[in-house]
Amino acid sequence: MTRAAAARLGAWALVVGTLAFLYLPLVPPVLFSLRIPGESAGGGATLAAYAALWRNPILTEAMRTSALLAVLTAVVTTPIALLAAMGVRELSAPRVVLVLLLVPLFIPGVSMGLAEAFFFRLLGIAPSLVTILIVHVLWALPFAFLIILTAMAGFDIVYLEAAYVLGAGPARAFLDVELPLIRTGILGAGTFSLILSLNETVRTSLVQGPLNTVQTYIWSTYLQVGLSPELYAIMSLLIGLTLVLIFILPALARARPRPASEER
Amino acid sequence: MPEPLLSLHEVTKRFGSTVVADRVSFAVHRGEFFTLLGPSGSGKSTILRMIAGLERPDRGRVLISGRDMADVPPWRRGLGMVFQQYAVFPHMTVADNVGYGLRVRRLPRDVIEARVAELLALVGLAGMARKNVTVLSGGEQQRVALARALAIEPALLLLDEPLGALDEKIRRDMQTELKEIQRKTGTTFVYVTHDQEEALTMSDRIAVFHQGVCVQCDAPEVLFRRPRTRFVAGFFRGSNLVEGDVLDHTDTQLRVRIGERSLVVGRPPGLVPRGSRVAVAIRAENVRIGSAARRCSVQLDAVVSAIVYRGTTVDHIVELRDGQRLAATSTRREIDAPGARTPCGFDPEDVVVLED
Repeated sequence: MTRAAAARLGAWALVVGTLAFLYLPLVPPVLFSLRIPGESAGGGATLAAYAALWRNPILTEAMRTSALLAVLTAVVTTPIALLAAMGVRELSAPRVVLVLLLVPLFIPGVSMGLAEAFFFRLLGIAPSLVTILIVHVLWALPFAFLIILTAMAGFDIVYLEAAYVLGAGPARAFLDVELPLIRTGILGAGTFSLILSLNETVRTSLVQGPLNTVQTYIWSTYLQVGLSPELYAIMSLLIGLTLVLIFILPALARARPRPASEER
Repeated sequence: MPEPLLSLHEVTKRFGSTVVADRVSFAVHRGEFFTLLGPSGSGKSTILRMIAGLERPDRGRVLISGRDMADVPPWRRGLGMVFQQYAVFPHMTVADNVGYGLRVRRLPRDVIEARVAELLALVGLAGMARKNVTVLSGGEQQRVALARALAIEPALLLLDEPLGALDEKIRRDMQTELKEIQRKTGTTFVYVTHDQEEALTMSDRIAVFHQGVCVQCDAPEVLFRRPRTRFVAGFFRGSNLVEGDVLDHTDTQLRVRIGERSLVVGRPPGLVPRGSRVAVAIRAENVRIGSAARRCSVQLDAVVSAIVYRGTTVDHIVELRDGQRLAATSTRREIDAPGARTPCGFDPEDVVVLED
């Protein structure tokens, strides 16, 4: 074996090792979710735990809440992030403004959640879907902003200038020219917001009130009952869903919009 | 004189502490091919962007058809503009790019289609309508941009170094074509370039810019033969800059000594006191050496210091007795080797006394 081939093999071994380190912990829950209760490991497999999920009214309610929150978070966060990014560009805001917009990323979740819960109490706002939504939007906003800002950095202003001179006002030029060219970033920001909302636990648990999301359900069930095939099943579903979202949505975004005249 | 289509009055623009346009004034008439020429950083692009409304002058006025443009945004100026980096919309087809200005103006679809076809034929892209612009070559993309700008039939087309990103050969072809399109459409062109040859070939008039100042604005031949400053003379390749002493002057003429000879030449405006030194420009193709020099009315003793072969022409660099150097360009080699003594001659009408 040549030195170069050995080096390549070594590099691949590192890559595979790292991936194994990252993903192996996710495997046992999937295996355990398929185990027939009462039987020892190596016995038959069953989807019974998955079927049971749908017969649990608290969990199905939590799923509905989670799905609604995830969609709302994406729908609310993305336009705000877009406007923030446009504002930063328009004002050519100093670096400190950028940093201030990103700092919430680094504030510990518990601190942020407690601060938000306390803030709601001061304002006399009772915990509800709206309080959870606000917390999720605040959590997702810096990420979404960063993604859109990055997409905008790759957009050359000269396209807008060309549209202006051709007679398009700022709104028309934005819709016709900039939006289609930064749509990957916008879809990415939306996807990211969706996933962040779906997976958020700590902040949510502090403002959830009577509502449960899937995450808070898992967390509280674990604390009260401990692990069960049902929990393994729901965890496996969430992991699978996240992977699907991460791989499918960017692929959708990459599909270029077909030029209008080809559709006629 | 009819009212100019475009006029700038004392337009000034600063970026931070740099003055990119310093009290710039000029007027462009209908149907003219007007070029802003200067090295990079001379302010010519900024001036074009102020005409388009993409930059705001700090001071001064931009008038289009006599109307002050101060409060008119770019989308209401009805101009065309072609950018150096093409700026064709990458997510649209060729036809959608060309028809964009017409769609914004809500023209009926059949009118747009007819106009787009007409323009694609004009720029030599007939049959390309359905293509995605990103698969086109640079030259083709710039044709799309040109067709797009002309689609709305603007009275004034602004071109910001439109050929700057293209290969030498394509650039030459496009120069001829642009000029042809300008003639066919009768559109007024305001053209920005740093390429002196491009400016000379295409323009009706050229304004030369240096550090934000319009230093001379004239027809190409006047600019080439009668530069007014050292900068303009030096900007066009093939100009000799030498110094002379003013011996005497009248209102219209100067008697100047260059080397060991004195000659009578035209006088520039401004103060030129007796005994002062002036800069003088003589084009290299007007300087003769060898036997041809004997037919010139001014002859100086010189030594050939270098011979540069350029294919169609040969440059002979000669040194005068006072140490000043001159280049003499001819179509064939006049002297065999450097080091030879030769007469060096020129005629007073080819000598231009500069203002600075």
